[in-house]
Amino acid sequence: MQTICVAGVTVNITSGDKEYFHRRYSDYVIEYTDSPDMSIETRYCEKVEEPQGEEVERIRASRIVRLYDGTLCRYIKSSKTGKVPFAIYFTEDYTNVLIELEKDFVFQGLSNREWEYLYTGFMFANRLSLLGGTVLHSSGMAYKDNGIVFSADPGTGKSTHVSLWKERFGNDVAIVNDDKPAVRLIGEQFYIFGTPWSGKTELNINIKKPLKAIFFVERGEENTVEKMSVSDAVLNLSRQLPNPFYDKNIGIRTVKFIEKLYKYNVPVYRLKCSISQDAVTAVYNEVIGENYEN
Amino acid sequence: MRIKDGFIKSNLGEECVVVPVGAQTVDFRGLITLNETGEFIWEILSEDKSLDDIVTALTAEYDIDAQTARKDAQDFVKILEEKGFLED
Repeated sequence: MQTICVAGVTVNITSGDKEYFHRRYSDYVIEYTDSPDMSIETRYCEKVEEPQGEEVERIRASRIVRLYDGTLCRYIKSSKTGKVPFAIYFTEDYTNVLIELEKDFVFQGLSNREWEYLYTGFMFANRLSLLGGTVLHSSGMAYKDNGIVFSADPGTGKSTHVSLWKERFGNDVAIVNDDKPAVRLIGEQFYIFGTPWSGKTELNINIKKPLKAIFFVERGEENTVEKMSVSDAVLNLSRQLPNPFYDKNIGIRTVKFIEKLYKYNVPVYRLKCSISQDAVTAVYNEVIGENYEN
Repeated sequence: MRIKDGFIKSNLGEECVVVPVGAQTVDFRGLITLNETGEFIWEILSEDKSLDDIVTALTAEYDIDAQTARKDAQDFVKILEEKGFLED
C-alpha cells in the first residue's frame, strides 16, 4: 500500500498492478496515515462475484446495488455469459473504494491496468468533488506562476498546443497535468494541481499553481481568442467536469463548482487555433500581456 | 406534470441555465437556457402542476391576459415534453 497526497487529498491506495502504479504514484507519496481522506484498493480476481444487494438503479449495462451495510456497488453483468468483468464497491462519500477486476480479462479492448487507471482516477475525482474541488479534463500547464488549462474533446490538439508552449518557453513552462489536473479553491484563489492521472503521456508534476484562465480549444485556420458567453462556458465546462451517470450528487457538486468559477471571475475563453506558435502568441497576449519578447 | 429529477438550475449573473446530472446525462448532454418566463414556469413545475396552474400563476405574476398566458405556457410545456424533461 502507498499513501499519496494529491491536490491536498490523502489517499491510502493499494494497487493491483503494483509495479506500474507504484512508479506512477511515486511523486505523490507521503508518510502513512491511518486517517486518510479516502482509501482505494484494486484487486485482480480470478472471478468477480456478482454483488448481492438491493438494486438501486440500472442504466444501460450498468447496475448499481446497495449492500446490507449501505455500501454501493456498480458493476456490469454480461447478458450472454453472465460474467461480471468488474465490480466497484464504494461508500456514498467515496471514502472507501474497492475495485474488483477479473484478472487478465480484456474488457471493451482495455486491460486490467487500463481499467485500474480509469477507475482509480474516477473515484478520486468523485471524492475530490465532494471535498469541494474537481478534476477538469484538460491539459494544464503553468507559465511561470500562471496556471492555464486547455480543455477540449480528445483529439482536438490541447496537448499539442501545450507542447508548443514548452517548445517556446522551455523551463518557464511546467506541464502540471496533461489530461486531468485537479482544481481547487483555496481562500479566494483557484489553483490547478498535478495528479498522477494524466493519460498515456504520464506528464504530470506534483505542484500547484494559481489558475489564471480556462481555454476551450477548437481547431481553426485563424488563431483567435474570445471570452465565452456564460451559457457556452457552462455547457463546455459541464462536459469536461465530473458528472457520472451513476451519482447525481457529483453532478450537483460540479454545477456548484462552476458557480464558484463564475463568482470569482475565472475567465473562460474559446481558442480557435491551428497547430502553430501563432496560437501560443494569441493566448500569451490575452493572458500574460502584450509585451511579449521572443 | 413536473420536471423530472436530475436537472439543476443555476443562476449566473443574468443568465439562467439548467444542467442535467446523474442518469439524465445518459440521454441529454446539452444545456437549457431559460428566459425570465421560462424560469418562472420551470420553478412552478418543480412540483406537480397542471397547465391551468401555470396559467393562473402567470396571470398573477405578469401583466398578461389568460389567453396569452395559456399560449405561452402551452408552447413552453410542448418544448419540455419534446425534450423529455417532464413526467406525469
